[in-house]
Amino acid sequence: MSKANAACAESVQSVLDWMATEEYKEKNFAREALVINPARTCQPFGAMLCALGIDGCLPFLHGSQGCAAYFRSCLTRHVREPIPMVSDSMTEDAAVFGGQANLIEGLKNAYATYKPSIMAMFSSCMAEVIGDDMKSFVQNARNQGAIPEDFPIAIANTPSFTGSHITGFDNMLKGLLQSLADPRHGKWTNGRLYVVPGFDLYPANLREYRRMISAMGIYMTMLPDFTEVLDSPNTGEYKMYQPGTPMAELADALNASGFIFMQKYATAGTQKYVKNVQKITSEAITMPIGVRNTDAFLMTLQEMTGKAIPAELEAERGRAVDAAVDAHQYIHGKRFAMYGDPDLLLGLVGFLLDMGGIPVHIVCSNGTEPFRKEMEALLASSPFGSEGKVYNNKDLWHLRSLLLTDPVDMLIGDSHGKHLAKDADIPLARIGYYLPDRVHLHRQAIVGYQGAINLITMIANLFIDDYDRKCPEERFEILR
Amino acid sequence: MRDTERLEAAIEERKDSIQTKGKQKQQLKCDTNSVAGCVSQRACVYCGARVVLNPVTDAIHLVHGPIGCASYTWDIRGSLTSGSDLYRFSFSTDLQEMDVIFGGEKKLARAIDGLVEKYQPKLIFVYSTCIVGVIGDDLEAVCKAAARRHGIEVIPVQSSGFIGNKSAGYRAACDALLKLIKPAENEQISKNNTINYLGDFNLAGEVWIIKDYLQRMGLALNVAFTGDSNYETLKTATKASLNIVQCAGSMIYLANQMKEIYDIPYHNVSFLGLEDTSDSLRRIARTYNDLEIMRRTEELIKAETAAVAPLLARYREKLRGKKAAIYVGGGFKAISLIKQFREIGIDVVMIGTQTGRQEEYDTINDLVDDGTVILDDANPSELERFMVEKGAHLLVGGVKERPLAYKLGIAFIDHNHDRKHPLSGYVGAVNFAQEVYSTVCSPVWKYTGEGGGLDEQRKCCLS
Repeated sequence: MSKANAACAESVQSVLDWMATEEYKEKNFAREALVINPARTCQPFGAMLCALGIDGCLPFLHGSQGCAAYFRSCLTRHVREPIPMVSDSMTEDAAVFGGQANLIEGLKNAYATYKPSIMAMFSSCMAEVIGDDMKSFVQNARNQGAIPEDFPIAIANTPSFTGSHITGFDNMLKGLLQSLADPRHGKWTNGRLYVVPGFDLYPANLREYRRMISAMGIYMTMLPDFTEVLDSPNTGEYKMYQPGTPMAELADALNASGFIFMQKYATAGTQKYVKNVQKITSEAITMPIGVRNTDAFLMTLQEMTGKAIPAELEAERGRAVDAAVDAHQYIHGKRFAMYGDPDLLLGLVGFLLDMGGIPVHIVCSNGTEPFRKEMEALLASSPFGSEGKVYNNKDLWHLRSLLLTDPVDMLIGDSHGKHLAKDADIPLARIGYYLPDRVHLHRQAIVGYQGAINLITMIANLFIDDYDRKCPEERFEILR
Repeated sequence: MRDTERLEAAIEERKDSIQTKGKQKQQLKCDTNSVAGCVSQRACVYCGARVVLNPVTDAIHLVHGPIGCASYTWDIRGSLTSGSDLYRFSFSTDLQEMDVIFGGEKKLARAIDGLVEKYQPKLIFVYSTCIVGVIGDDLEAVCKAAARRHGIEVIPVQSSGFIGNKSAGYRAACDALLKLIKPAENEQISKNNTINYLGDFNLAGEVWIIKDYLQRMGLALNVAFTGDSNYETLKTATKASLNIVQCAGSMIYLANQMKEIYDIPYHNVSFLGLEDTSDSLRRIARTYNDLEIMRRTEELIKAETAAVAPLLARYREKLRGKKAAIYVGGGFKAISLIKQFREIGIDVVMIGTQTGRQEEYDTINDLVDDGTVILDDANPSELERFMVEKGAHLLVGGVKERPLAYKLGIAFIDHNHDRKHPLSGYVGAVNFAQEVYSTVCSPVWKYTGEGGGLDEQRKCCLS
């Protein structure tokens, strides 16, 4: 190494050392105008996911072409599936004169070309800033004959400069109900429990919900149901539309016997609409991660429907408990840092507390005050929660400071955490959305009793793998 | 509705952008904006600018906009670095509603100040996004003031997503680079014998392969635009005596500007496949009119070709008669791929690009066999229809095309950001053949049923 290089390496090292100090952490947390390595994305992405869950629905972005390309690429990298979506390709003219011409032309082409059964329209930031009125544009499109008068279109405003992907999901879901659900028939119900998964990019989770609810003999509709879009069979044929929530069941949604929201923070607006405006019985639960949250999920189902929990689910619970017992020694007393959406974090923290794990740094870049309060109450409920601290609206560079000043044993988060985990020299449990650097994680459920077994397996084995890689030669042996 | 009807409808709408060689005489419609309401595989101006500039390793790439634009483009470029890894970070001003109402200029200035304090960079690129274009933040002014305040270069990139298509983004990036390489007022440019390499982004380390070839020829790479480049090396760009251009789609504008302003001539080159690689190296050598360089070049070509020829011959045996479909970003890459497929015995039956230009489509038309389908800015329905109709065994494309091909039972290789093996030069030709072989001749297709399926051609490469 030349002298200059050596000096350079030395100065790099001193900067790195400085970045691991409390002093740097303070500076880092004082940051306000800048996000470094974000742990969230924008509203229309969540709206697209929601739209993909309706049978025969084509997501339609009112905005620039690039947004659509990015959403599709990112989702494709995560689930390795083709994702259909159109935009009306707004350009400079639209920015000046408004996007009506693009919207009408786009509807006309998309309708004629892809023959969807419905379209779900949402907005990019550009359309929001210029103040386009999508509702009246769509009406004008109908008047001009670009689409038939009765063609179903749901509309949602999803400005990127407020909220995050979960807000977009929520807005689109509410938009679907407001635009396309028929009015309630008084007190009459269709006897169906509507199950809202939330912003959940594990198709395996949706399958798990369906399986458990069906095992209880409950008549259900998943809304929206993007299971098949995110995990479609390979048949040698490309189908642009995969089966999703049937249009008839969306139209009949307000006659539901009840709604159960599997993620409360990702569906806050829709809950209000369903519960307060439409007066439909509804429950919003903690995402059923781990045994305790799955128990609560089944109890809620029981209360809502009067159906009993069948023996097969009880046996499954027994197997999950057995898995927890068999592996608790690998997780007990281990310290964790984690980041993700609020609902995911609440589920995970409950699960860890029950395993004797110690949640330490909990970073939620789209968390709200109610989320903080709920999380703090959860932490306070267990002696293992005493070290846990919630950081709302922080990014992964904040988390880096936390990891380096107060080290933990494992990081839980999406693939973006791999640099952090490497710098902190700890394993990364890849859980959440955006897992492009590993295969098929989205095909393994993290909810329900089966999901609990999967999580215990993943986390315990990561610790064991890490030890196998790092342990001294004399300790390298078969038994662990 | 049957899916075949959907396919027919999809094609009708865009018939001017699709042609079959030997059938039509009219010019292919290209270089236009995507049709509203079509599933386009294309991205935006911002994307074009981002892919060109992002490989500059020690620059801060600050995205001025809502969080999405930064989060979708975080470390997805696939370009490798031999130095700083600052380019892998995602920096955003995360514009909120209040910023949209009152303007984002002050926030941007504070973000730059924070970045300078934290990282002491020499160079910051500030990308404009849709929203910034609409609310009218004066990026130029904020960047100029910040540059003066900190004594570093802060360069605005005019990449609001809606001001055109991806090509406009390439141009915005080239304009930013031109600003960067401009020598100071009274600086004397002393030319040397080195070469700038334009339009290689060091995906999987491809720049390093070419750098090594040039060295062995007795020449030196000055700086690559922009793979594994940094502030210091880019600043020397105007000293080179020759520019070579690999990705013409993104860089031909910069090459032309550098020719005009700094009198640096350029050659289009291609290091994809043996034929184009050897031709390109000879072309470079001839420029210098130096017998020693030419001798060393021939030596290199001979040695490298001899090393890979037997390997390629083996793959050719297995792959002969297979049919490929191509859907890539630029026209120049598409042209090279046709030749490269020929070297391993594969015919191209469908070919398209996102941003190809008229003259590139003319060349493509000259190269392919009669009956080959040529299409611009294709959508998934078109790709599906023509791959199946033409019996393609393989698709070359990017991230969005992969799962489509797989669903149809068609093999796939990535020739975009997600590639993990270098595909340049002689070693790249072998990697390419190896990748093609391992996907086309995989036994997994046995189970994928009809569609592209396992026809006789497929079966024979498994034996």
